[in-house]
Amino acid sequence: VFRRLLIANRGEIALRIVRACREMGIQSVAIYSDADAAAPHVLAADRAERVGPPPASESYLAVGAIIDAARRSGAEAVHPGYGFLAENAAFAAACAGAGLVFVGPPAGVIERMGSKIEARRLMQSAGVPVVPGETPDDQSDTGIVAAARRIGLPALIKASAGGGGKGMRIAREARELAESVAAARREALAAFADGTLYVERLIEQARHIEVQIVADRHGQCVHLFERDCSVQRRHQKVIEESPSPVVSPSLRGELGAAAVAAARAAGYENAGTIEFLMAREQHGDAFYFLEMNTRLQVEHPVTEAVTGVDLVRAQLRIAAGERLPWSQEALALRGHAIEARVYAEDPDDGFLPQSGPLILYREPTGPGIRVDSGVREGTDMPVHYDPLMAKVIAHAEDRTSCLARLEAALARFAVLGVRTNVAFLIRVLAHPGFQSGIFDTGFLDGHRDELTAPGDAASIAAAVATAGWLARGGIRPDEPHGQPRVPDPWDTLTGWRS
Amino acid sequence: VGGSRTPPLARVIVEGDGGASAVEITAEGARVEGLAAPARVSRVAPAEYRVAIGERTFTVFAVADRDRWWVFVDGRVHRLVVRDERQPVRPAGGYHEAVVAPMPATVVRILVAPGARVARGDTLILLDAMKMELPLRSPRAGVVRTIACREGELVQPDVLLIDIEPQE
Repeated sequence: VFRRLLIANRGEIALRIVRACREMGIQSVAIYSDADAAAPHVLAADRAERVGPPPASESYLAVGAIIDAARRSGAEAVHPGYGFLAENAAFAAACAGAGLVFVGPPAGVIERMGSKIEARRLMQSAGVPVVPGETPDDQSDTGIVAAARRIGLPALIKASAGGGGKGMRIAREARELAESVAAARREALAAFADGTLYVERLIEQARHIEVQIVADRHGQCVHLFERDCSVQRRHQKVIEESPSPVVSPSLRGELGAAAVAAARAAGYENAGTIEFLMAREQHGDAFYFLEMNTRLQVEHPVTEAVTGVDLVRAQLRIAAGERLPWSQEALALRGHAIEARVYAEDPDDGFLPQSGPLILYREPTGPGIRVDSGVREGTDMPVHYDPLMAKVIAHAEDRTSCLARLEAALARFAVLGVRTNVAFLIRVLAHPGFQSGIFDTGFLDGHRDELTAPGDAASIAAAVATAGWLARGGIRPDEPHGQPRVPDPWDTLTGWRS
Repeated sequence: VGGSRTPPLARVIVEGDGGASAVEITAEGARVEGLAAPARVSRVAPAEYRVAIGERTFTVFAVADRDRWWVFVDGRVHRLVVRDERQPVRPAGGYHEAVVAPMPATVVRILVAPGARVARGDTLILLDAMKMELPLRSPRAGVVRTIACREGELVQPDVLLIDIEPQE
């Protein structure tokens, strides 16, 4: 394939790509900002190049610096991961201009699909249903407000260049419009350096269903079934699963065919995802094209689990000009997979992102458990970037066993030094609404209080007893990390002589 | 040892977010006030403990961080302070009307000026933390006395940003 690949990203996804490189005999080149000089992704790669100071706008989003780093390192190809520059057409074009293979679709396709208006037009022409919405020509605040009134409330106001919930606001009432527009604009500018806004009717009680597709440059395109990402908080996905508990085999066929038609209409190449909103309507389940993500998704491991393929390996082979490694007939869904995103945030305090040192960090292991993470014990959770710490993916023969497996794994995912959302995730998995499989994208907000309730008395007492015993019980606590101290006679003491 | 019950080594108060508990520490574990069964604690591996309470057992991870304990059990993180029973409770410090950053963040916009009259819940400052916009709201009605930050400044947690003089 390639001899050397530059990974234009950080954190867990950079480590994920390094792993694929090792398996394929490709040398990996990491990039880092000053905040990440000793970050796990830097230490894992074969070599690393500094690209700038901590702010992402001056490092992981700095196209010129990254292209220079790729040239310096002698890389032949660039994998953008997700986020940062992954859906930036100018970056893909700059790679091509510098003679580097961009692991993703051509710049023209990213640009077309990144423009919501273009993407919608294309989808409509390919016969794929779309949600009412527009990117107004008048991009002034009053122009956006007027567009929202035309489309009807409740409306979603979002960054045209966006994704991942950044720069997205809901306005339910007319009086909220002005503030929502201003906030969406600021976040859009900060996150994507592009303040263009898009307004869309909010489809309520909808499920978020997306289809993974992969296409090569020889005209082959397949889908790898759906992922259900309906458990979201502020449009940020929290739990994803495949297959969806509500998609029937016939609907799965329709979704897959629509996704492949969409990818073909876009002239797509490499791995991508077509997102749909699915709503239960009078005549049955209807789905609408939401957007196309022209990159690898955060939640790609659930698809890898149920189909048994390696999407990053496929991406690299396709980028090198090879043919798709699988035919549609050869792809099958096996069992059920669920991913939970572990964030450094405090659900009991408005989900505030947390920063600080990871004094203790122990990932769960076991059959059917995969953990993709970007941190290590003893490192700091940096303040400059996304607070995603790790993804825990469980795979089992059916949804019920998969839920139990994931819950047990999370209960053993010990992170100390910062607060995480692990207890919250466990409560979501244990909630009857989630277990029934019947929920929509409003699930987390609708059950917020139940999902942030404190733990049971015995579990709190276990914590209290351990702290008290370690502080006063005559046993010395262990050092948080590193080597244990010299042997301590107290450790071998078995009881008191009376 | 001959089966005799070991004498308590200490009586302490363990304080966490959920409140304080009186705890009697023994060599084998601890007896937590309000709980019928004692907790037996044994070390499994560095920083990993097994705690048995009645018929339930828990895997607990615990580390010390200066004067506090970080403890993980069943997915939940507890931050606990252990003090002796007779030691006075630390006085609540800080400015009661202070608006502080909850975490390191950049000040995006300051929406009030000194002398401004604000209502409880009014947005005073917009922060940017981890790419998300974070509004800081007034904890009560009052008058803005001091603004101790600038737009564009990177601020640290628990440091005064705006001081509000409470008024009815």
